[in-house]
Amino acid sequence: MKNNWKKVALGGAALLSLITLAACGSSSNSASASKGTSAQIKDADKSPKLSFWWWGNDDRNQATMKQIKNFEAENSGISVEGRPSGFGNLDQVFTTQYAGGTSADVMTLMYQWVPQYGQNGGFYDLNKLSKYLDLKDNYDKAFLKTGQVGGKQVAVPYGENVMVMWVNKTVFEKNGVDVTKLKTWDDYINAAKKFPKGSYPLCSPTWRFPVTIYLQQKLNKTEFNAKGQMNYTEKDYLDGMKWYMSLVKDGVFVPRSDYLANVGSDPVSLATNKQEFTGKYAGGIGWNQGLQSDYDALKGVGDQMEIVPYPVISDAKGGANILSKPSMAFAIKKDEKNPVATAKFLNDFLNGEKANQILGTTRGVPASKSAQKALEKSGALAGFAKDANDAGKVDTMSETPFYEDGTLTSIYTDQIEAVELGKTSVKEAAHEVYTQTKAQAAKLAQQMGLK
Amino acid sequence: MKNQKVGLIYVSPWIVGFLVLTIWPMIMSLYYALTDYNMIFKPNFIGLQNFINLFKDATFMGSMRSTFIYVIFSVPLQLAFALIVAFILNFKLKGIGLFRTAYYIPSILGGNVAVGILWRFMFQPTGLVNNFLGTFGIHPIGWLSTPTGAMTSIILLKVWQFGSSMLIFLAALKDLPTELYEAASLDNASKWQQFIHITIPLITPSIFFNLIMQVNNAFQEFNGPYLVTGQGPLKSTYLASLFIYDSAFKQYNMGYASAASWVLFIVIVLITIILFATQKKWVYYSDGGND
Repeated sequence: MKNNWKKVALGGAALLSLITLAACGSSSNSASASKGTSAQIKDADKSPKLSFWWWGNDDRNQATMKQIKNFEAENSGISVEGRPSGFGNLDQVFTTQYAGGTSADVMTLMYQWVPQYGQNGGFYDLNKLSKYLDLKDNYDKAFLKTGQVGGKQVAVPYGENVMVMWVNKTVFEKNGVDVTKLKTWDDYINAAKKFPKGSYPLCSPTWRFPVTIYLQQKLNKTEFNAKGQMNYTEKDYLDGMKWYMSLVKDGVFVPRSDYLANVGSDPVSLATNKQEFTGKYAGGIGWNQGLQSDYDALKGVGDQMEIVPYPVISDAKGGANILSKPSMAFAIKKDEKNPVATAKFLNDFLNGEKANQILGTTRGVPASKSAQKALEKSGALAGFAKDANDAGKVDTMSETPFYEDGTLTSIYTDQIEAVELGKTSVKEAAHEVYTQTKAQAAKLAQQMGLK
Repeated sequence: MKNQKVGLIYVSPWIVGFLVLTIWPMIMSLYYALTDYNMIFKPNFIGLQNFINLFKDATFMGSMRSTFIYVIFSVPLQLAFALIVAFILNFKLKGIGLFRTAYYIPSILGGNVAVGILWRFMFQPTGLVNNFLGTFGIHPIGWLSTPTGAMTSIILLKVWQFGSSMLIFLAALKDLPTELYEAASLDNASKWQQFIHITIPLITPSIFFNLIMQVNNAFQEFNGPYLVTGQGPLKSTYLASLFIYDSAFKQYNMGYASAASWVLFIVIVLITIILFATQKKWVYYSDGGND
């Protein structure tokens, strides 16, 4: 009896070793997707089990889980596992899943991941699934192009994200400023004079946004061209940075030292930050599709948030020239073994009437025409959501996928800190921003295959 | 021989885990350190270029400098604090068990998100720390908005997590022979003289052990700066571990990150060797250091 137990224990130990080894092995034995046209494509499983990865807050998670249940009810035989994650460490989560071959069947992408990972068949070619995935009738051609790499539709951009300006109307009025009269930067300088010490009319999570918009207005050119080459000179950067620093000096924008002390060194959403909901940071510039959470947070403390026109500098060459890019995109795994079921799910998510009424504006306003109709019908595209969406209507997406690259953002951040903390001059900082941005842009353009 | 085989089979899960989860990743990281690898395309062999670039990279050198500052200040402070608390907890006090648990709790909490948020609140311009200092007439300090303040705040977070060192000191203090103190008392030695000339020499093996462990931990510190200060003003709290993390997962530069990891590993090994070399001069082993 004693010997038997010993054998069982030995066997168990050996089995555990094998399991450990097996678990660490590659999981790349899934069937490859069939090649060919939409009509020839078939699923490998009769009852496909799909997975969907996204990030977001609780509202978005709950709405998405509800939409998944609705899809499963309407498509018996297909089951979908929801894989939600928070906003943090998205690069790390996505990269490890992608490199480890454990990506979900349908995955959410940041704009820069489209060309970065979509090269050389990195995602499923969605053109092959046109029978099941309606992109042609629902999307603007130019907008859809932001999901293409090498002529292949590797991702579907979700919504148009445009940089807008907003203010906490309640706080501005408390300080004696009529927000309807805020048109120019001089108006903001005058408003700042009426704010108490330690309070500021505007906060930008990174000074890159206002400086770039200023230069876009002044030169009527984006920071990078379609090939990823620099459009601005060192002199341009110096001009933009001097302009921004003068606004900091006039108390319009939150100084970096205040931001560091109260928020931190990383650009983050201020929706739950004390400085914002106590009115010390009484406005800001941000991507329109992400402002709903700020609106809800301020509404929660009895304040009213409003979108205001982005000021245009006096010597602007062409309009407001604000930044624009797709808010996020959706792709299907490159070796998807159940492409038909996956395409049906993605189509329902992007274009389905009931699906979009369930999802509402938890991911901002979708660009799909069917989805917008569904939202209008349900009354979800109203109030602040509509204002934010309308404020962001632009003809083209102006920014290259790597505009928000972490290194590019930190080049600016490092330099503003050095200037504000007295370690360097604006001239030296502009030189550093120019040379470092040029080097990083060249590296990214090569990585993303921008030609 | 049969027993040896049985033993090996029993420990095989650990051996397999060690080989697969520690040795293999180390070998692979050494290989990646010699390549240009971004996790999308195949690694491209570039020899020692990553290492050469690292030593020319002002950001990496700055992060190593910050790491050394962090280690030099946090480790001695943490050990001193742990020893003082252990010394107090060694007295026969009422409810001593409760005190020991309370002082150990920060070590269990470690540098998690909640502690990070708490620390940020405490060190904000109108936070608890400045309010406390204000009662002594000290003007508010920009803890998180100045390079020195940010570094101080993460060093204090490390010092606060003194529990594990404290437990080791406490165990060492409890093992000290009482006859030495009795003899010293008969010779009219003060408590301070007893502490300096009896207690400290006798617990040097524990001090040495704690020193090695804490130096190793401090060089690899990630959670504190990541959660509380991030890079900090002027990258003042951008420790080597944050540089490695950013290179790997924000810039997708796995080869470069692997090379930086190896540089950090070599630095830790060298410092550990130096510390071991010095122990003959200051660590007292009752058995002469023999097994």
